Amino acid sequence: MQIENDIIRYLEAQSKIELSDSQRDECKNNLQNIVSFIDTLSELDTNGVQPLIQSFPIVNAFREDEVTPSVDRELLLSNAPNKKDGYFKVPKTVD
Amino acid sequence: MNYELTLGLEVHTELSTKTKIFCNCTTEFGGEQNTHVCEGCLGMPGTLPVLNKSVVDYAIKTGLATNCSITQFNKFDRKNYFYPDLPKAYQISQLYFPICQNGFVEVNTDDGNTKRVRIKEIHMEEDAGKLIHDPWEDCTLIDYNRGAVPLLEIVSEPDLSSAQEAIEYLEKLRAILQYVGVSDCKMQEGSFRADINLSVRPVGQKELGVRTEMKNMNSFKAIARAIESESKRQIELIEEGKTVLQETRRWDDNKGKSFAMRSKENAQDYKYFPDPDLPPIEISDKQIEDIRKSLPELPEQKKLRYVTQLGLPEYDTGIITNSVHLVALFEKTAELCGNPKEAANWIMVELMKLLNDSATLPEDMSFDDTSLAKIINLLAENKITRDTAKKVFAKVFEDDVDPEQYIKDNNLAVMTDNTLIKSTIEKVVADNQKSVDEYKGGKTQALQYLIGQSMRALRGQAPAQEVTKILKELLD
Repeated sequence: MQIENDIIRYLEAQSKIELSDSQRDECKNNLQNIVSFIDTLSELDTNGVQPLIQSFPIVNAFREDEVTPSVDRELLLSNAPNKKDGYFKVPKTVD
Repeated sequence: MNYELTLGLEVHTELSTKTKIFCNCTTEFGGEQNTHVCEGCLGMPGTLPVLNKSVVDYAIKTGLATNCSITQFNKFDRKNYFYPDLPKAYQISQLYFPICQNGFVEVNTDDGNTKRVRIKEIHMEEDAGKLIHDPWEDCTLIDYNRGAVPLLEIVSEPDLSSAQEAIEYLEKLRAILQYVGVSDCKMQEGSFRADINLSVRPVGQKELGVRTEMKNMNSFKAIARAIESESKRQIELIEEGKTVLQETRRWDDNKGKSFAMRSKENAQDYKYFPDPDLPPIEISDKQIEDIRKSLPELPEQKKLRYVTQLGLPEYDTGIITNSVHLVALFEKTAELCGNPKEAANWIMVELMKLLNDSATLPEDMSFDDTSLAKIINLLAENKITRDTAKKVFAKVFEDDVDPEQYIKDNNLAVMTDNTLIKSTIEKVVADNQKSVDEYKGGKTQALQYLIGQSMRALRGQAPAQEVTKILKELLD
């Protein structure tokens, strides 16, 4: 797979960042290396092999449905850059 | 040209577990903003989600009650999107292995037949926080109390073809969820919400039209209106030679129209991937069978039993069995008065009237569930008249009074003193000589007038038959 400029621009938009031309070139080269590496892996025949989606042999880690007290609101809000009346405050978002 | 509608629904229902899906915060509705919140449901670094066991049980219950097969190997996936209603910038959901698949719900169609609406899948996920627009500062305020409350998303196949069918499907689905006890399904509190996928095509055309997705309807009426409006909008576009765009639209019920939110071109790229924080879930055959055995009688089974064993009309049973609250009142009343038909009749006539007149939903009824049976029994024993019974029931509905006490306090019991009834009627006869003469002269309507006057004098507390009998004896 060939990494073109439009893929980089799409990823910039998705990541909400803007790269300079030289950064974009550098990023393109890096990504191309990674993708080429993956392409090599794709040469392997994995028919009949279950996809690995978990690296630890654990299943069914559950919690009982019992309420414990929530955390004090002032403490939770203490890291928030903006707050108002017990709410987190963010710039206006329109759906 | 004639068009046909193709509809599919995505229903989100909040589960009535005590705690959130991945932490021990309460799921209780309401509460001061950001007081049902911890580091976990705020997605702070260093926290890890641990799945609430009840969520899996509730999902299996729902799947079995809607004829789904249960996926025995489950995994959660991350759905990434950047929006402040989710503090982690991703929602934990299920894309690759939804817990329930390939089910169906049977609904009544417009022509009186039944139709199978297929359920594609049901998956577990977390709810988002609530955004509030602050007009004073033109900013957005966030309350995360609802964030990470467990949700099931129930996705139907596009098997519906009218607003009425869609409502039938939603009512049936809601009844099932309430029967099995997984959700209270209060639309006004957002614990039961539906998004509509809708397309239109000329009758006879094989391929489906371009579909839109509509969000933000918070009542069955709004859903029906949104379906009517959107199908009309799409048909008009086609008739004008324009194209329907594949997009997400937001319904504004006050304006009675929808607005485009985002189109396919700038659709979100959710970059789903398996959530590495949550190990897979394996569900055993035994667990599924145990839950299957614990399922209560479902609406269709109940309906059948009411019709065949209790001899109730099919229409009435349909209405009653669609609400778990009406079912509870009906069964209690029938049990206590021993007359299921009379119990159903009171619910279908008097209770429906009271609910409609006061715009109350069955789940908001707040009177003692033994009161209706008491009234029916008093009526059957001729201790009150039917008119009084209706009045007392209205008072029960309104103020949850005890019927017996209320009847006693207000002196509403049927008069048992025949001498008193007779003397009261004698007085009415004496006071209405004109009508008496008319009656004797052959004018039969005069008798009705005299009955009316007598009932009034007796404050409606004497049996009408008795009054008529005494009057006739006096006059003839």
